[in-house]
Amino acid sequence: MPEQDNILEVSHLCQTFTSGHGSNRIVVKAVDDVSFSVRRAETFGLVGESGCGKTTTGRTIIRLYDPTSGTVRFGGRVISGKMTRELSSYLSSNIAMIFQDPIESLNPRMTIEEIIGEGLLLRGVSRARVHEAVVEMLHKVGLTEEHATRYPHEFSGGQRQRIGIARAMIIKPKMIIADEPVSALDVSIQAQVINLLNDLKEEMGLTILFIAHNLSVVKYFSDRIGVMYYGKLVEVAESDDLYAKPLHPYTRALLSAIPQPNPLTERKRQRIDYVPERDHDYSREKPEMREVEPEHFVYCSESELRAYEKQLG
Amino acid sequence: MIVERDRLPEELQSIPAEEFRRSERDWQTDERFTTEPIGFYKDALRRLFSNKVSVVSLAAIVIIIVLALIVPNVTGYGYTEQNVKQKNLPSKVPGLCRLGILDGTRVLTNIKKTSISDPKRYPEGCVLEVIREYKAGKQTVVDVKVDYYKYCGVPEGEYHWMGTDYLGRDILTRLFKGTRISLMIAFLSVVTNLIIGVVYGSVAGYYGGRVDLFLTHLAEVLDGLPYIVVTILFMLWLGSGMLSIVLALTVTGWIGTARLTRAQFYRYKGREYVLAARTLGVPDKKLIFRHILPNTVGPLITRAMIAVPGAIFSESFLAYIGLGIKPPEPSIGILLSEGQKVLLQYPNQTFFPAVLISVLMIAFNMLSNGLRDAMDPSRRGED
Repeated sequence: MPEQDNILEVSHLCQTFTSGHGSNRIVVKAVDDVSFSVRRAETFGLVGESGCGKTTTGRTIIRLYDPTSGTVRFGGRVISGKMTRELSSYLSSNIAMIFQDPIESLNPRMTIEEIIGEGLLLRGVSRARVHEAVVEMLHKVGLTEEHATRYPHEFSGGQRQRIGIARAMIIKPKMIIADEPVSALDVSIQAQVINLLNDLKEEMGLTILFIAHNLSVVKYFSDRIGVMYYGKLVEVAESDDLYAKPLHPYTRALLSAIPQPNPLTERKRQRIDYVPERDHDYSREKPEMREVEPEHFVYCSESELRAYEKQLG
Repeated sequence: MIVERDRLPEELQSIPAEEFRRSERDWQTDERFTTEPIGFYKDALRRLFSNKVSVVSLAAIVIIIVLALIVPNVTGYGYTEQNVKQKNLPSKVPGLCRLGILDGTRVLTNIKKTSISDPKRYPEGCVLEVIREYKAGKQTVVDVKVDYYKYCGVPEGEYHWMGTDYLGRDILTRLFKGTRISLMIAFLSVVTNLIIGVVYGSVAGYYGGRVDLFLTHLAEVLDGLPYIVVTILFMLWLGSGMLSIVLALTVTGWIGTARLTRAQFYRYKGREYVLAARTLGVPDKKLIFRHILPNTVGPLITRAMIAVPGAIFSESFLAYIGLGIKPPEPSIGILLSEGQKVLLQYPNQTFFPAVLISVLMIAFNMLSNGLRDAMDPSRRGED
């Protein structure tokens, strides 16, 4: 992997949440020793079932949470260390985030112009310039200038998500963390939003960390995909590779769950179950991230690695 | 949904690629909205004014405030102006007195019949009619209805709409002067409570954790102070005046507001739009006052409105038990407390302040109910 190309490097990232004190203390490992890297101008998809730690990973990278351990580098600079005002402004002008819920993610008491323009106003841009930039951004996401004076509740879900995208894009970040940007939208609108993201990405040379659970969307959109299970990253591969030859049993289970549009094959579709206790024997060997073939990493033990290599031939 | 070609049914696979066209539906043409933009406050106001009870209450409050500002200056009497000869006059209203109500008459009982004809005690024309005449021992005793104004020697053309008190001070002037002071105490204490409570609650709610734990327990301790004792201590320290009453009402009054604000902050600080603002680098101060606080305004305004009659009532209560502001300054509570001493003989001295405070309390409560409904986001879009 050519190191200089990596815009984001996550290594051994852990994020735990605790609740209660003393004997009632509960520790939840939301993200458990996750390492991956994202290259400049690529789209990295992060998939996995609900509650597997995808969102937490994204939020920890952008420092909505303080990481428990591990390091995150962005553009060569460590961004997981102590929070300073300088680091905070470095983060906020380089990484932006798009949120899942288009209703929840816009402040109901602010107009669209205030919402989209806030990032620029904070950076000391004059009001007139902010207005121009907001109008330009509104046109880019397919809204009109007149929409700037409106409040969020007057818009549909798809429009609001586009407003959310405009808010993230206006500060011209280098990377976008898109946290399930389409999962709250209906299918006809999903394509709109995905295409918009794609257009903007090409136009602005963005890097995108795309968090989702809809595998078809992720496949269409991402260059490389990481599969997460229970706080761990279990497989990282190029998008086509992952779909053509999934190796980790969890990835297979996940792919086998995609419904097929053809009723004849759909009826015959076999679902594979993933039971960690049955599928792995880690009593003697320690599992870790291993490269099975170039650019294809699987979380496995030594013997599993040999089995996978055999399988690939 | 993206579908691979080889997964499609066979009859679809055989269609040549040229036959496919991009969908005509183009989202680039989002329509302009034709309606007016409606913000939160505009919407709330519209809903408030469509509620009749709220409008009537608001009107009542405005009228009382205007009266409190005007009346003490136009009655022609000062609120401390005493006239011992004209004490405890009944009410006399120009116009109404011709109809026989509020005409400044009073029935005097158990009077020696002989004394009626004594012009020194009963000036010419003041005895209107003899209601009853009976014997008590050797004396002939009468009950008479007298024109009390003439009886006390009040010049013709002078009116006390609500009568006078035990020192001959005009009750109308004193009542509205007192309303002014009561409202001022109420608004001052509510505003201070609101400011302290909102700042305290915001900090506790936003930062959470240890800060919250400390602040909440501190408030808990303050809440335990008995407020009458605190009031008395303030009176000892600062003397009885408006300041000590406002302070006494503030010492524990802000805690409720702080709790409410804290709860609202817990509700809103994890919302995605707050997180979104954080990822944009919005500083804490702006997050608190720009992103979270405006969303808590509804319950806060409602609470402040409910607190106003509460404060008026507390002030009246303190005045009633003798911890009010310094005489001769009036307040509604002081008027009530003076009035109740002569309740049976001169009920008018209690009646008018009681009506005013009741109207004020009901109006404020009704208005805050209306405001609560108008600002409740869950009722948005109804009607």
